[in-house]
Amino acid sequence: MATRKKVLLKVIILGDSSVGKTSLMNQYVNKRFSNQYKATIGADFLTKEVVVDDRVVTMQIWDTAGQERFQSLGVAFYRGADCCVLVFDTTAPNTFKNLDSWRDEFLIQASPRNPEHFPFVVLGNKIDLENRAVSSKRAQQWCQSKNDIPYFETSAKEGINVDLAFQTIAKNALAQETEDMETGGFPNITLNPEPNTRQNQNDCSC
Amino acid sequence: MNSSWIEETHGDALELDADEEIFNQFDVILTRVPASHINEINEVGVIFIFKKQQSYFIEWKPNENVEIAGAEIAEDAIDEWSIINQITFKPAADSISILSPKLKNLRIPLPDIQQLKVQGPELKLYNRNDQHLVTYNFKRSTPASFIRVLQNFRLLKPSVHDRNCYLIKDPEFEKLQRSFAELNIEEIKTAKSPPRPFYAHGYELLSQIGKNVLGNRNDRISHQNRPGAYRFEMGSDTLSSNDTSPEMDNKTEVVDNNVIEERLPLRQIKKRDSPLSLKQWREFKTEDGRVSDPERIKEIIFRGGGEPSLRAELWKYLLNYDMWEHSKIERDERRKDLEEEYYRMKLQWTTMSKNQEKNHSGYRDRKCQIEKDVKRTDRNLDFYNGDDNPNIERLQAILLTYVMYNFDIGYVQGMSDLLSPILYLIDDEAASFWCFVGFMEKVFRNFDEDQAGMKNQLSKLRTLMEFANPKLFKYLKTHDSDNMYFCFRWLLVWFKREFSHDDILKLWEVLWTSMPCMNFHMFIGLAILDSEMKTIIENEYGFTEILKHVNDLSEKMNLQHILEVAEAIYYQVINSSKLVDRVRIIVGLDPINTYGDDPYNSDDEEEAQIKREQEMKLKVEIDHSRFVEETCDNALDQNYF
Repeated sequence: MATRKKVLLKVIILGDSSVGKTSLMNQYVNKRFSNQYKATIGADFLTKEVVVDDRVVTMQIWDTAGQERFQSLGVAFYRGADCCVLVFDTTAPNTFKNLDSWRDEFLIQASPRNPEHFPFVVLGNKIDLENRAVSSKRAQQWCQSKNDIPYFETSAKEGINVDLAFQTIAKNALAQETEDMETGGFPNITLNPEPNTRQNQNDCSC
Repeated sequence: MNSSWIEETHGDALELDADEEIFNQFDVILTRVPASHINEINEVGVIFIFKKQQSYFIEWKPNENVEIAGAEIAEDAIDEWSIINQITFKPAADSISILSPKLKNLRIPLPDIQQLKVQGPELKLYNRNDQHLVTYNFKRSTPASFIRVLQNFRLLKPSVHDRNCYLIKDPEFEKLQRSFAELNIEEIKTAKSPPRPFYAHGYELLSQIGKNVLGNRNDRISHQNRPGAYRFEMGSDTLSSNDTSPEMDNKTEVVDNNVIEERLPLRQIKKRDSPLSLKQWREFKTEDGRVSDPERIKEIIFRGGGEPSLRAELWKYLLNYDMWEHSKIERDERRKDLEEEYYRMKLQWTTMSKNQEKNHSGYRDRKCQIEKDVKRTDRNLDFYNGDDNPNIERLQAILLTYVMYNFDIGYVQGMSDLLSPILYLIDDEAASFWCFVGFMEKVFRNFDEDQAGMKNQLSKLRTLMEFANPKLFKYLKTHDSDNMYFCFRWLLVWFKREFSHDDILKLWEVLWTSMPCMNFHMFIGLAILDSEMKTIIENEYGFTEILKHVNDLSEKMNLQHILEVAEAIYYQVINSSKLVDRVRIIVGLDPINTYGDDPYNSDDEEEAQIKREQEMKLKVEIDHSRFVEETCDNALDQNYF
């Protein structure tokens, strides 16, 4: 079957500047943390082989610049993404508030085939710091309201929950990728709008 | 067989300049598109096959364009690159939404396609790198007649492995075969095996051209003429000698290199000179402290930089903090004024109250970003290392004062990278600030809110690449990479992340001379790509791999070599007899409009066109509202209300 081919999972990390995107990626891939990371300019990625449900897959994790204006080039990088990781800093409420626009912007630019069911994962980072300002409850509520996005609280510095979070990311990305392959690797065109109708109605009532 | 196909279909078309439509079908939906056409996904339109100037194209047009344009082909829709000027971060505001984005045509040159696959109502196109580019869904029919037409025109052949798969013939290749046949070059006519003798011939020709060019060049730049200083390098655009690769690629390589031979003189690598010494510098200083020949100084710095001990002094001139023509007295006076001005501006934010700050989100956002970034700017250098390092505070103070100096630019990521080496070297807060201002004068467009400056830079780099390295350009184009996004970091912060701290000091002072042209930093980019071309092409890198490869070059490159190659490419370009206007403009020469057939608009023209269109629309709106007003007035006059 086609799904037995070697699988590449493309994961995009988004979030405000300085929430720890580069650190999370490096902690997960290289098991390292440094205080000397520079602000990311443009985009870069790391790859890591992981086993998901007894299958070896390659994760390609994309790290991007956090300042808003640089996102206009995002479309080149977001294309073909299988999962989007939204990161905020648990000590900085603004970075949490901006998750909405990061999510929206991703959906606009990446135009995934099935936006309602595109897998996101939310990471509340820097939980090693004392001055926490966004409660778990608040973060969880937001995630639930967005079609039950999985939520993890992490510390890239101390490696807390990073592996766990990325395992879920890989798993959900793989599910997305597999679904794409089964549907022939192109968007579901709107010849037959029925399947989505109910979903849309639910959304409108929110 | 093959050549007869060319004869038949091109027979009467040679004189024909107009398009010749050979197929169209309605109700075709785009279900997979390149990133440039993301807006067109799931749109319904018409698919055409047509011939233009002896080339075949597949073009999909959204229904709305078909009704308006009829058989005409919208020229502005051809260039995928044009999308780059249309991407904005925020969706259009209400006021602009009247100008709702027009759907674009999607035109694909047939030779760019390697194969077509038919699956039920779907037709999938794959490029020559086997990337799945586009899927058309023939909503009310199947792609069968589409395929039949291409077959009738002998533009494709069925794959022997898969009956639903068709391979596109490459007419360029076949044309080439025919022209070689006419030239009676036996090796090519039959060539399945690599045409080695022709390459040898090519080398001879190349070296002949080289000799001619060298003669001219030495005359032209006489002050740089040092016998023996030139080294000849067969740049990576020359022919590779391992000719065992498959037949198709070898032929296209011959074409490309013919183009290069015609277009560019041979590359001459000139060794870098030694840096400006203290002794030389003193010779240029007059008694009262003026610098006598700034142009010559810049020339020396361009060719060799400055001695490290001189650097701080030179930078102040290069960045317009000190003026070349000022005497020592005038200089001290100016420095004093500027210092006062700096501290006045600094006071504006140091005296801001908590409430003021609370009510000033623009300032707060900028400050917040600066605080985040200075903490992670060059912390590996001793100068910025360690907790509570006062130099981090100075970085922050200068950037915050810059926010006060130019609130519109404010602070954008990347600016702390530009400031850090300046503060490191100048080591005085006010002077560093003004030097930073001087640097920003050169690059402020990089930090445009809408990224227009960066898009423009990427587009210029692309234009230069197309002219100076057609082989790599063609490769990038066929591998979905000619958006040049992988050069973004290079251009934004002038290679700050690509070289070591020491090398950046050397590179920037070279670039600040603005010699030999304003856009010389782009030639640094061309030189880097030139030296990576072999790796990129041989490994068949796509966009992702190129980006990774380019990012990973960071601090692994030899700056002196890159500078030499960059200079050599620059001279190749400006000494080309085929220099087109769009390139002339980028290298700072006046356009001469000699090559009127130049098929591309320059960015500026493009911008002007966009502006004209916007003005037109605005005018229509104003006329409309005036009309409404007048109608109302008339109605009032006539007591209709």
